Amino acid sequence: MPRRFIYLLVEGPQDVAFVGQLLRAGAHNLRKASKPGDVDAFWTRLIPTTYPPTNESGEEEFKPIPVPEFYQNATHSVAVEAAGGLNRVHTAVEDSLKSLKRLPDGVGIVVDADEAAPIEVFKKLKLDIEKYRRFSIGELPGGVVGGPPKAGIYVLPDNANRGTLEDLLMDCGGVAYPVLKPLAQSYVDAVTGAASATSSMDYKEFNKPAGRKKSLVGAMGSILKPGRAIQNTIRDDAWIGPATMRPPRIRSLSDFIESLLSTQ
Amino acid sequence: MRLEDLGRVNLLVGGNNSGKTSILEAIMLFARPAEARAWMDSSAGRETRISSKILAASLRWLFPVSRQASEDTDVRPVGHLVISGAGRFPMRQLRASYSGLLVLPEPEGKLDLEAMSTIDEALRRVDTVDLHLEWERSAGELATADGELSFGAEGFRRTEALREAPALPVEMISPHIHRTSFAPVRAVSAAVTGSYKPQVVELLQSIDPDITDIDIVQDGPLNPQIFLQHYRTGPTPLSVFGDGVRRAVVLAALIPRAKDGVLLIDELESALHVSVLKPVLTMLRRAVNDFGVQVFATTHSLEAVDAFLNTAESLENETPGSQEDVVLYQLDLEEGERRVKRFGADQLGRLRFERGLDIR
Repeated sequence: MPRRFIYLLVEGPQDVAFVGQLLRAGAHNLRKASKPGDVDAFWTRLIPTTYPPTNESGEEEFKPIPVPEFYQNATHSVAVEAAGGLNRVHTAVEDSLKSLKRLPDGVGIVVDADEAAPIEVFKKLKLDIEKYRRFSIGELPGGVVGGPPKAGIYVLPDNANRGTLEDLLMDCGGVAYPVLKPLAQSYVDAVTGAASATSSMDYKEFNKPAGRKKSLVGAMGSILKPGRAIQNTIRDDAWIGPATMRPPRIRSLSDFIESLLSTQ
Repeated sequence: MRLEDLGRVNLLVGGNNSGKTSILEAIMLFARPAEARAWMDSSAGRETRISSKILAASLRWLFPVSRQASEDTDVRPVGHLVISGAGRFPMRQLRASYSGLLVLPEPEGKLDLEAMSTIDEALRRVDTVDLHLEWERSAGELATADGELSFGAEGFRRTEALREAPALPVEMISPHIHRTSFAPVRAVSAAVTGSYKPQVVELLQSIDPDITDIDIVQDGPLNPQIFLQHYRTGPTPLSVFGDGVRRAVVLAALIPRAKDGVLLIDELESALHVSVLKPVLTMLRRAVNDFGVQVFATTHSLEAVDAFLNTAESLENETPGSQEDVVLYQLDLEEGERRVKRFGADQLGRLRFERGLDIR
């Protein structure tokens, strides 16, 4: 049976780590490719070859370049890539798919609904992506349509309510770390009072809609992996595992990804 | 193969044998379909030397040839060539077919026809291209011409009706043209007579600021040579300079010859060190804007692609819209099928400058 190729585009590096863990824990038992030589040649054109890149003036510039992660087994090869923000998703998916020699068998997009309702995020993204006429997306967030390629947009946390990846991480954290999470919550709650009592710009990010949830996850991550980025604790600790796959919102996202991987 | 939404500068990338140079050859034919020179340049342009034998052997290979094996190559089926286009140049379609014949030229009365080797030596090849041309005479009104071009040892002939066909200025810069003795002299002569020598010198100064002038010197009755005036070495033959300077001379001098037409560059980066790509290509882009030239260039070099994108920003202040004028076509040969993908400057910039991806 020929390998199925699935392309997943998410917003940022933490989403890449989270979706990657779901792929590892999912029914297909996919494993992350650790070196370029292990990645299926189908994806070669998504692997950067130039660093540092030049800017528009022709000067080389040290700046982060998104590198996809690849998860594979004998029957599937999945690329997970970060767009660098919601407003870059439609160009990122078009640029990546156009770079490939042919379209993958499945295309999934996972974005946050932190600044608008999921249906609004979905509608705008669907419009922006379908103007390239490369593939069709269904009528509702979270749905996967036949294709080929099979395609869908999943709006976190659950296609219905506003939120972000941190909502899912809090679901997972509550199961995986029942002692640590309340402690971190207490800490964030304590800061909330101080932040609301001052006009200092120090708490600008904290006071954003998803700020406290991000701080909570960050506080837990700082205990689990001191001094390291959140994606490291997502990847290396117990956030995703058999027990934490049970909460409905985690199960729903996992099912979305599995339906893209499925031949049905 | 179809190239859509062409730009002022069109870069062609793809693996070996993906058809990049064939596109340049097709454009050459489309620009001057009724001229024997265009067919000669297209069929034998990949050779460093040209002769009637090379021409005879290569002309037929411009046409699609059947895979069917045959011992007698002269009866091997050869297909039609069809090239279509749209734009300000009025030519709309070129249809061509090929036939090759071996003939005994007159007079041959003294030949011993039983001696096969003698006949072989006496036979002459005549290659013929049958043409059907369509062009737009005025808005909505198509004109046509049918005729043939024949190429033999005695020269070439053209049917009178083909003279009416439109022609576009076109220049082909092959990867090794700067190493030939004739082409640079021809190019610089055109620069002198066309009064654009100062621009050629300016380009050369972007590579070596000590170059102050360029001249053609007669060294013997049939041996014109290019000399560069150099601050440190005085008058110095071009032949002693490196390939980069030689290439730059040809590039700069041939652009004006393609005024209001097309410049075809095979292997844009050939002989140019990465450090001079940006100045050379900036000058190239400025010159093609000034002279109204459309460029088609093949390349294997990411540095050349990046440099061209960088030149767009340099020129944006001088010529608004320059940036949108760089288009890249990626050619792929996948499972026997040729595919073309178009990348505009914006998308190309994202792929190269933000993601570091290899678009060749």
